[in-house]
Amino acid sequence: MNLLDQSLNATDLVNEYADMLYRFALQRVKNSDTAKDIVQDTFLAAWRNKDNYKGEASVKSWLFIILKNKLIDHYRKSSAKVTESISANENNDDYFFDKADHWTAEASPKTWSSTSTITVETKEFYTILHNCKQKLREVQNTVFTMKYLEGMESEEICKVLELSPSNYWILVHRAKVQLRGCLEKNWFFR
Amino acid sequence: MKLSITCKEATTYIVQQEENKLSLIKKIQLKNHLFICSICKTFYRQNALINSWLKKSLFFVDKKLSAPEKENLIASIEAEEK
Repeated sequence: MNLLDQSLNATDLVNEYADMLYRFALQRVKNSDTAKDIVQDTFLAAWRNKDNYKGEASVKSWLFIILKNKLIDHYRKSSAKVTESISANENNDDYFFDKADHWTAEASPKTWSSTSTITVETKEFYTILHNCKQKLREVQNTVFTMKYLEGMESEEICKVLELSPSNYWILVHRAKVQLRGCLEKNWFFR
Repeated sequence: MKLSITCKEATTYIVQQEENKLSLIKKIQLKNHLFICSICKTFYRQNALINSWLKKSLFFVDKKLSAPEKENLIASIEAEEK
């Protein structure tokens, strides 16, 4: 008998770790349904492999290792749509940049009045930031999450998602310009 | 070497600079552009702020699964056992 089924049944496991895993996944995928599916897959994989759990890591870190692998699988699948997404999104730049590739009048970044810690570091602000991030296209959100939240290097991201460096930079640039615009509209100039 | 770059190029270079991916020429072009373009200069400052907020944002999500969702999860795990 191993540590996992000695100390935990399915109910304990879910009650103890499901919210934690869900929050982690939710920050990293496009929508809550996907996050829920990934959490479920994680528990199922853990349960199937519980005989392999040797108790060397805590149950928590063991679950997180499985969750991270599930997320990478998910990122890989979503990157299949990348090429299509890049060309389909070509016109989107028109809103931000004009024919000469300079900022359009309506999308030009404005000066933000209050960016101090006190005004910005509130739960409300981070909810807006999260919502703006969720508005990105799935593949942009994936690249963005891997780069800015996971802190992965571009080479690694390109490898996992099978992206060319030029497509990667197009995605990151567009996502950043869009997220900045969304924050400005929904927080700084609401 | 052309000295002037567009705003689209400049903002792309700003993002690439985060990973030290700029050649010397691009660095000079970006510096030159930021010197003359106040809009991109604003983007440059805000970009750095956004990066720091994104890192911190991981600690500000307070979502939970509902009780029925947890019950479904438990049921699916237990079904796996049989």
